[in-house]
Order: sequence, then structure tokens, then C-alpha cells
Amino acid sequence: MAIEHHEMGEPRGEGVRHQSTFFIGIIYDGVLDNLRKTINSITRQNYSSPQLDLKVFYEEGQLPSVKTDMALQYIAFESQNDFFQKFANSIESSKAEYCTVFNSGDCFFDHSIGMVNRVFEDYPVIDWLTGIQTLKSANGFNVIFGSLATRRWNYGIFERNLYKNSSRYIPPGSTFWRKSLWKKAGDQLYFVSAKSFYDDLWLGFFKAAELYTSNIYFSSTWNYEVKKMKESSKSIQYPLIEDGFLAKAQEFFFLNNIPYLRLFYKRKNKLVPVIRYDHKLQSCFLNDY
Amino acid sequence: MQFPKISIVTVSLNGARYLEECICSILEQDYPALEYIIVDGGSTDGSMDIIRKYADKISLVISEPDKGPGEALNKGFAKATGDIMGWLNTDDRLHPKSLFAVAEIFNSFQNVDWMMGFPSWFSATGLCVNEIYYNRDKLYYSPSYINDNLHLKFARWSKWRFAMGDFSAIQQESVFWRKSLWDKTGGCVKEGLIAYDLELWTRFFEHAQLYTCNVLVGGFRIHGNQISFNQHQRYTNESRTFINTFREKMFDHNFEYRLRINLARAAKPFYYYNIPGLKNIYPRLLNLPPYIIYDFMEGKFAIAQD
Repeated sequence: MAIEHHEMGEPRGEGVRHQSTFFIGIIYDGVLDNLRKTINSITRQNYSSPQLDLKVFYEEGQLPSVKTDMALQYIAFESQNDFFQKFANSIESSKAEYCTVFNSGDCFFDHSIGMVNRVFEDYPVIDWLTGIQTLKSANGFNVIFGSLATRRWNYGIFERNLYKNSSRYIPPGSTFWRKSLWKKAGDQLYFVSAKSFYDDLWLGFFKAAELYTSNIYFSSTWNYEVKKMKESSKSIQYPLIEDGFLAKAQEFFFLNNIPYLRLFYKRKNKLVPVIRYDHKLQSCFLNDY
Repeated sequence: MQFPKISIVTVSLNGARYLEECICSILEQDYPALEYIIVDGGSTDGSMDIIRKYADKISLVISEPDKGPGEALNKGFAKATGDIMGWLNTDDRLHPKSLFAVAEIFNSFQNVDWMMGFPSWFSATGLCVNEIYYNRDKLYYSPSYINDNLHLKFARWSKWRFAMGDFSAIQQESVFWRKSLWDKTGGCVKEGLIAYDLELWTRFFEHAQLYTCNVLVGGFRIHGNQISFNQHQRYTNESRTFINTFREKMFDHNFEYRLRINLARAAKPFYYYNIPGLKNIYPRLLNLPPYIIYDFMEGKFAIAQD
């Protein structure tokens, strides 16, 4: 429990680094107030507007009110008809280097886009990454859940969790990828249905690159997402699978952080290091935990 | 929903660098029954200009020299009229809408006299991080704490656990209490100390259980110039003294006490690692209170048992 005192230099701040362009896709739910909250969390990022390529995907008939309300010039609007194709075209035509997509009502934590930019710059090995996400209550406060261990993934873990109908999931809005990964995963991307959009996207990415997890809060999910997830998990019929006793035990040791025994699961699944924040150097580093 | 009046005191002395973020984190909540008091001890770095910018939303500004943060806090709390109280230092922040969670908890559970949100930390630039991982070479806490501290069980205390010295992360920025508890325990913080928060907790523990919830309420900013960093040895020494005094006052050091503490120490890994059948020994030996969780399906807070 030693606490050491260190002198810290002046904060370098995310703003002084090169700001790469981000594509942010927002799936509009028809509630203007939710979209306002999302856009507000983006404009609070201190990230220059030309470096943000925002596109709101709306359902037919919802455009007029949204467009007149959103005065920001760098937001584009597109209908959700033929969504997968339009989403793919938007990313391909965007000049962005990094991308993310989430639902309106979800919000970024302050400075998260700048930090994602920095992680991608510092670690070329990382093609996509995810962070800590909270659930937002009806009153707007942030509710925490899960541990870092429950947020570590590879293709096998992700697929098994889908088939186990597990509540563990990779949060959109807290998950960012390089545009080059989109191209790399191109042949692997099969969108089955709107309800499994994120699952299909992540499965395609997993086939092309490992997902890195960080200990930084990137976004909060509006609570309706929880209900939607439950509906979604009921509607998507994956054949259920049962893990054997040994697999269950290894997962238990890992998720409960039991020293040494947790390593069986980590090694079996060949998990990549986690991204941790170093308060002294004000940057992230890869920690082989 | 009824909104109890919440009084927050911020003590300022040349903390202009982060002051505006601190003020905005409180005012942007738009909590309808907020009483916000700022006590400035004579800043010369432009802090007062920042305070003036928000003067119409701040309930009271006291600007006069003081003998330290303890005295300044006491000045502020002496003027506070809220049912719920807390303080926020100039370099720290509240999380969005967290005051609504605080209000809802105190409204819902009349037996809760003081509570703590789930601990979180801000970087110097305002990034929110879920672990204290100060430096890649030096760990702040033991690896088991660091690597899984999103589990709510690490942030639960009873007077027993507190007396064991397991007090490191009662995060002051996330703590709120009822005025009745404040009045019962003397109605002041002890002046001339730097571990005055910890000293206050010892008095609170004499009268009430601390309840923790799974909501982000406040966060501690790590920038290296905090008093608890710069005068760390003094902070540690003061803390040890208060804990020892508290332990002697609250417990007879008889065979039963020693047996219970030692059994709890032995049972701690079972609790931390969630070992079925054994995990509940530790909380029972130490009388840990249940924690408060937000139930999304019901849309309200609930008490969760082990």
C-alpha cells in the first residue's frame, strides 16, 4: 500500500496533439432531447469541429424538426432506409481516420475523444478499442456496473457470450476503430438484421483484429438501451450452449480476479494487454495484466 | 420527486486552474434546491474573477483570509441551511446529475444518514478513470484492488472495517450526509489538520453506518499538487492517529475483538474473490452495511444484501 510522491510536469493536454478526424454515427431514436444531449457531449470535447464528421441516421418523417434544431454545420443527416449500405458508404466516403457509432441519448465523457485519438497515435498495433461505460438513469446520473475483467474480449469469448445469451456486451460509443480496420474487415462484415447490428459489426472486426480494453470511462448509455438490449436478446435466437465445468471454473477465476488461477483463462484465450492511464505521464500504456 | 435542499461548500485559495470546472460540475446539474457556498481565503490568481462570473447562481461567497481549509469549511457550513451537506474542493468535480441521485437516496432511505457514491478519479486534463493507477512503475494500491475495483464490495465500510485501518478510499468528493448527523457530531471539521476529512468520518462512524451506492457522484482529480500528495507523510501520520484513537474509543481490546478482527483478516480473500459459501464471512464479522443499487427495471434505488 505504498504511496509515493512524484513531481508532475505541466499537463500536456490532449489539445496540443495532432487531432485526427473522427466519424461519429448517431442512430436517432426520434426523441429530440436525447439527440441534443448526445450532440452536447460531443461539442464539450474540446475537439475542433472540422475534425469531427457527424452523421445522424433518422427514421423517415423525423428529419424536418431535427435538422432545424441542430444548427451545427458539420452534422449531416441521412435516412435509416437501407441503413447498412448507407452506414458503410458514410464511412467509406468520410475522410475520418477513426470511427464510432452509437444511439442518440448516449453521451461521451469529457475528453474521451481526445484520449482515443492519442491512444491510436501512440499504439499503431491497436486497430480498435473499448472503454468503461456507465448506464444513465432516467434522471441522467451514471450507474456503474461490471469490472474490467468482464470487458476483456476476443472473438471466441464474444461469440460464446452471444450463444450463452450473456448480459456482457461491447458498448457502442465506448468502442472506436480505425477506418483501416473497416477496410480490413470488409469481407467479414455481414449485417443480418438491425437488431443485431452491433453484434454483427463486432464479429466482423474480431475476425480482423484484437480488441483492446481500457480503464477509462468513454461514454454513458441511455437507459432505454438496457430495455432494447433485453428485447433484442429475446428476438435474436442463438442456439444456447453450455460451458463445461473446467471452462466455467476458469472463467470464474478470471472474472473474480483470483491471483494465478485467473491466468488459465487469460492464456487459454490469448488476451491482449489492457490500456491503462498513467496519471503521472498523463498518457496511456499497455499493461500485460 | 421531492428535492431536499443540498448545501455544498467549496473552499478556494489560489485554485483558479481547476476552479471553473469544479463550479460548473455543480451548477450544470440544474438541481432545483441547491445552496452553493464558496469560501475564498484571499486568492490572488484570478479565482475571484471566476467566482464573480457565476455569482448569480452561487448562494453565498465569503472572501476573507482564513487560517486554512478547516476554518474556511467551518465558515461555509455555519451558513449552510440545507438538509443534506457535502463539500467539493476546487480541483475536484461532481459527475453529471449526481445530486439527483443523492437526493433520491436520502429521500428513499430514512435510515441513511451518510452515503458515498462509487469512487472515481479525474486526470489533470479532466479524463475520468476508474482505477487509481498513478504511474506505470508505482502502484497506488495493491494489485488486487487496482485490477478489479469496479466491484462495489471494495468500497464498503462499517466502524469495524474502518477501525481495522481499511479506510483509504472513503472518497470525500462522493460523500454526502444529513444535517442532523452533522449537528449530532459537533457541527464542524477539526481545524489545523490536513486529514480533517478522515477525522470527520471517525465521528460519523460513532453514530451512523456509511452506505455506498453504485452511482458516480464525485471524482478526485490527480494532478500531483494536492495537499495529500505534497504532505503525504503528515496526512498518513494524522490518519493513523485518528484511527488508533477511534479504535480505542469504540472497542474494548478484549479477546472477542481480537478474534473477530483476525478472523476477518483471514476471511477477506474469500470476500474479495467471491468464493461461494465463504464470501459472506467477512461482511458478517465486520457488520458491513448493505449497499444501495439503482434498479433500472424499477427506476429507483434498492438495498442489496450480500
